[in-house]
Amino acid sequence: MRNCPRVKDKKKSRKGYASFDAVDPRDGLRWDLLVAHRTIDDIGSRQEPDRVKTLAYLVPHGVQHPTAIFQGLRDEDDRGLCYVSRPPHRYIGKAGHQVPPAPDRVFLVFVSPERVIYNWRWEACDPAEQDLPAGHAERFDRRLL
Amino acid sequence: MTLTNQAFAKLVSSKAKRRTGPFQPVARYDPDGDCIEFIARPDPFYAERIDKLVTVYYSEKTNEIVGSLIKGVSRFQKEMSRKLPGFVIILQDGKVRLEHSFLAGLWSAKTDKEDLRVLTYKKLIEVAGDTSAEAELLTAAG
Repeated sequence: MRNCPRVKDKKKSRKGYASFDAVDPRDGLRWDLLVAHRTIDDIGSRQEPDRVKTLAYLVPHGVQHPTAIFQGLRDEDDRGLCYVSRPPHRYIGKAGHQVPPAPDRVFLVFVSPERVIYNWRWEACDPAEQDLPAGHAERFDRRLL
Repeated sequence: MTLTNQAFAKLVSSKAKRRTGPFQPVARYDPDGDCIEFIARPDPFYAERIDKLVTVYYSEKTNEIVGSLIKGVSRFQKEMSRKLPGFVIILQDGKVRLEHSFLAGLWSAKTDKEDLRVLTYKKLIEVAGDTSAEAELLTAAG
């Protein structure tokens, strides 16, 4: 069914979670990913504007404009997804100012097998393939996109 | 209902609280990822995965350790309780001290004492100890 996902697979909702659009690695079209309201509350309560703006803007951008999507980690029993992207900016400082990202960084968004986003962060890119994270060949099980 | 990007940004922004005092280190368990994120300092950071257990957050300004992510927490605790029964002592009222988790990670790592990973673990133990960081272990929401 890899090339023919059922329509009902695309939508996803769960009590206590917000959902928004992302690229579906099975067909390159759209599906829903979830973020727990408790995660949103927690980020809000930390009083870090850069973290708030990163979740508000960069995380959706990252899963909607991925340069790659990987599945699984080789040394873990993990079937989750990792969306890789190169957003045009990042947010820093007490005011969450928008600045260009460092040229040698990619933005990663981690998604559980239940399609819940639980972590996001900047990492070093592969020097030879700047759209991908360093060590991707050894780290991930397979590339889906 | 699927939120538009604008609606999602509005939802997240509506939860943001203004900073009223100095930054407080935070450690939070996420049941969806079965991971603990530890933020010791508010610097912008980049991450480096050192092994299957720990990803270290380094300051973009100073390259010092400013936080970490511990993955596979439940599995790791079960594994450690089996290998080192004394490990369960550090779990009190469902809370886990991060320095103890890093110490357990160091004990279970097959590394040379001069290995960079050992040095990173030592630094993590120091940073977590300085902040007395602990995370409350919750179960995943239905």
